[in-house]
Amino acid sequence: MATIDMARLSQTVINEVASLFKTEMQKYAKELEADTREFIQSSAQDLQRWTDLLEKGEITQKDFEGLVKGRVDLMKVTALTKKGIAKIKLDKIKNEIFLIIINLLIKL
Amino acid sequence: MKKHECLKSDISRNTYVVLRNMYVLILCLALAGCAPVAFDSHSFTQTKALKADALKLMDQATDSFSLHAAEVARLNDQLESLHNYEKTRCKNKITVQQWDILLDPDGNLLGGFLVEWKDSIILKKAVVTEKGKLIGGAFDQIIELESHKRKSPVIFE
Repeated sequence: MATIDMARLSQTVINEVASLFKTEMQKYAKELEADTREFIQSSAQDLQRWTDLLEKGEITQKDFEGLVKGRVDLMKVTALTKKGIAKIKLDKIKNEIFLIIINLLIKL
Repeated sequence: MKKHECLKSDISRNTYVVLRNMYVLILCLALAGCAPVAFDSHSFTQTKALKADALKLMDQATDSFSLHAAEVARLNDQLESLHNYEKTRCKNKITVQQWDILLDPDGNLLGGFLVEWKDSIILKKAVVTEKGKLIGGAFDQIIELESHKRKSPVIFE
């Protein structure tokens, strides 16, 4: 009876998956780094602007606190976006892995 | 004898094919479970539309709340409706969490803003402008996540 060469199959899958994972994660790491840098810069600008508004009397201390808390809430929403995108990318990679395995099995 | 061996070989080959197909079937079923969350054009367009409506209404918060109470109630209904719709979608927990934060009446984004407007009657222009940037940003994050979701159909889902 013909048997599935598991060792060869495993090695082929590992090679293809490793290559796919490396490319995808490198791309994502760069995007994440750029987004994080941009977010920190914009947060610092917001804090500076609100401090100026507070000094000019255009907003109260309570307003200032509300804005800072709002910024924290926005950070939470942003973090969820990053988490969601990372999960989508991971699911896509898992999908690709299964497709690689299925294609290899069909070829056997 | 030769015929017997040939028959045996055919049976082995058939067993192999059946086993291989079973592997493929199991993997296909597992693949369905790994399919990334699907893009929803209703969610996407509604979120964009509600962002525009919310920011437009927020601009009126320097007026007395009573002048816009009906519009606020209508907006709240639409927001709640979309929030509930998001809860019914498959693999959509993260987007629901984003809406929870945005609409929390005790929070500091849209939900909190509308409560603050109602309680304070009139809000300062600077507060309205700055809160508008934060709330617009939160809507943008929800839109960005939606736009990353899978647009092409996946086999076996």
